[in-house]
Amino acid sequence: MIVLTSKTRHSSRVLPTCLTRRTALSSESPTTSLFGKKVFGRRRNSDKAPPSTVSSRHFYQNEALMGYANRPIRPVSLQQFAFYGRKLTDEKIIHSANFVRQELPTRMAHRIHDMQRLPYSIIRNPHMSHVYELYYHSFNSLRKFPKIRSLDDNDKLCNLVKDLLLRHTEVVPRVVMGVIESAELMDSNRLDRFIYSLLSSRISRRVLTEQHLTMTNSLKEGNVTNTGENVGQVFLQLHAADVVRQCADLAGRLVSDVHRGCATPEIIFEGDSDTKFAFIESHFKYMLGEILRNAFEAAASKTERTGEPLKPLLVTVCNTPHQLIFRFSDRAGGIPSDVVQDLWSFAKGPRSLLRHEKLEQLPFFDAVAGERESINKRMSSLSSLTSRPSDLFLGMGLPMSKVYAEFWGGKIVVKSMEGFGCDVFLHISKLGIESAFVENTSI
Amino acid sequence: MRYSVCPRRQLLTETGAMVSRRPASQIYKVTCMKSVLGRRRSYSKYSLDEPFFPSIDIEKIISTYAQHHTKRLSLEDLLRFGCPPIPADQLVLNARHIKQEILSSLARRVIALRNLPYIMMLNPNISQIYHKYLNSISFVHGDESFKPENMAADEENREFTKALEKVVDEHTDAIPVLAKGVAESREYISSAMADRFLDEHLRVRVGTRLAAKHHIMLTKQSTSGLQNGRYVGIVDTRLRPDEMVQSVADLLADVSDLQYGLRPTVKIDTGSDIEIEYVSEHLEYIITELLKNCFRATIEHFTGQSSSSHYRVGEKSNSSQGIFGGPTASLPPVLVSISRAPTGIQIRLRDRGGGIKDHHLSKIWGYSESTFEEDDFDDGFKRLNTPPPSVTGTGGSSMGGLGYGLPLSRAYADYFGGNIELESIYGWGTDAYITLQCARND
Repeated sequence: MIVLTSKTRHSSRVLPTCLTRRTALSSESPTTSLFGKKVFGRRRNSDKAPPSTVSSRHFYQNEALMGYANRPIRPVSLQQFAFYGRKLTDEKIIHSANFVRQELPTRMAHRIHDMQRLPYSIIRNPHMSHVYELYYHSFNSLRKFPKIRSLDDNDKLCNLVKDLLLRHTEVVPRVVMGVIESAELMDSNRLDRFIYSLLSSRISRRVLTEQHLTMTNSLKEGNVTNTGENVGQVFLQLHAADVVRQCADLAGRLVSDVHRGCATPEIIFEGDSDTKFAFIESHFKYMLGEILRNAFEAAASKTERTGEPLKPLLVTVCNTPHQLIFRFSDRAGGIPSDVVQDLWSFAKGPRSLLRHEKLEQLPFFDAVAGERESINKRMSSLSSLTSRPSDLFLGMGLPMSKVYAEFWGGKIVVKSMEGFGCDVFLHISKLGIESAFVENTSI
Repeated sequence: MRYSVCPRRQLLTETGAMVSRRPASQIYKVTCMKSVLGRRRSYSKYSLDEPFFPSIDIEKIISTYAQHHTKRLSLEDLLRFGCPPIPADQLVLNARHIKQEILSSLARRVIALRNLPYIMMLNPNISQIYHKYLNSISFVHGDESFKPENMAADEENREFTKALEKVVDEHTDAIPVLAKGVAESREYISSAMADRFLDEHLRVRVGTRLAAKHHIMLTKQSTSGLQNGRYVGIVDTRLRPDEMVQSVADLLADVSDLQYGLRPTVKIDTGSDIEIEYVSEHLEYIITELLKNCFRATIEHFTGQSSSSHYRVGEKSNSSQGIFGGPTASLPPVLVSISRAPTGIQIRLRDRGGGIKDHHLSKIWGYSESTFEEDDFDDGFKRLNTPPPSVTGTGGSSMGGLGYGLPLSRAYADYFGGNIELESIYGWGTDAYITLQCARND
């Protein structure tokens, strides 16, 4: 495996993820994780580990954090979010920048405070402590940032925030690894809830940040009036059948790599497959990618096991004024009952150990598709899925998809008929101008 | 000796002490006379027109048996005697066992009914049900003081079975009556309490009737040579779900032809070869109720009568045509998939009926709502929610609901450890998943 070392600390080049150095923990010395495995700390030169916060000074300085943690979070109504970027002016950008400058540390402080209240045995885990320190240092940099009064100040903020977005892409796999290792130390449900709120909050922060960055770019490019179909400029118009086919192609390729020579099931559409809807492309493609990959993987395993021909995957799309509903119905043998009960949990489940071993192989970036790319430009977020090693089953596709689906007011339901097949229902709320969801929801 | 059954007096005299205007001494004299004459009382001499055995202390029976908890029957329990004919001594053992179980169920039901608000018990429907339960307890218990010691096993069983049959018959049409009574008392009891009461009541009823009917059938099959090797009591050991679905579908298609002029169809795409051992009545009821919903929804959606019809974007034909030209061809069939699960089977009914709104979904498992408008309230109760046609020979001839079909189906499925779940796509259709715990013949 080719290893590239980037000499600059803040690399603005987008490195293909398959070529990035494998990272392990960034703690300074080898530590023993709870399972007795030696985990070596190899520091990435491009990313120095944040200095340790483990000191008594940290305890007494926590007052600063508590100040922010005690502030209420100011939700942004989705309507405001959607239509803020319609007519851009300097003041609007500066106003948005100050909002980001204050809101991000507040939201992070809430999550840091959550972590501080988890049992010591959990946060002492090297992965979790890395995440904690990353959060704390990000919080500090944002907190100390002076008030923005000009577009130049805004540029400085944008650079800081871009860097933070990059560095935080590793949070997801680290947290998942940390949770799997510490699953026995705490009530699983409470742990699941903690991760759920951590990831939800993370989505909200990233979406707000990306929105601000996009607006800054638009203003720079002179694109001040935006009456296009993009909602908040972060939501794109997607075509249901097309996006399903794209994700299916990709998922199919991944599965074919593992099950050599096995074809992928045919996709049959029914219903309103021509529908166009607005959603964050990377989020939607991630969910779809996971769902389809599960379906194809199950179909391929079943064919290998029983020799029966592949049954097609039926995709039903239903468009109503308030919701868009997808149903993916396969005949790939269903989900075994010991797995089905913990399907949505990060911490529980018979495969959690297996998942953990696989995670350590993952280059420490895009556990979630498209996060790296979408920061710099709106290119297809599927390239990261392609570059993820194809035999890597992280086992967290469904719980993660659930976080995304529910964040946007939808839901995912899986109905398994063991020995027969699975039906996955994906409901998403529509983000049109008159949408009730838009009126009543905030991020 | 006939006692008149007068509602008002029944309330006062529910323990059976005083039923007529005759003074107590005379009643006592009457019973004494009977015992003096030494006439053996058999259960069959008493019809339910003579509700009370004066010498039975019903309160004592209720308090004794209410403390005993019934054990839920499993399919293995039902099949444990093997194929009929079953020797009489074993039958009588079963008889004695289920007598205990049934009496304790009935006793607990009486106590639950007594815990309802007083005003509800004055409703004639509920009062009727209540007295049925009291009568049934007396009947099943019988007058043990007159039982001779050396009654032959088969005679004992025969007597008991006759009593059971009467009781089962009495309660066959009880659900519509109870439903009507509860519906009329809506203002005196909260929905949640009503739902809880009905849920418990109907679930217990499922178990009690199961035990009773099974014993009756076992007895019939053992004594009259009616057995055919396939049925063990009420368990069909060679039940084909696909055949059952098809026959229910045919019947319901006839009904909807009468009502709407349309014949919906089913298409069984998997599982035609699956054979199970299960109580056929239960499965028939479940399939009937669910398929009724599927058919009705499909018809209403495709004739534009339901609210979800407006969301059929992308359909080539609009809603105003296609009804009278080739009625069967234009209605999409209900897709039925039957699959083998590790501990039984799963059946999925997938329709294109337009789906169920989210806020309805949470209510459909309760007992208070039906989305069907019935003009004639009384008639509706009679026609609907009757036992499956194979049992009574009559059957529901309407497609609408008391609103009890779904929760009752779930009670049946639950009894042996199964389940029913619904997942809906509003604007398109609904998937119903039935899971049954049973043994398969494969």
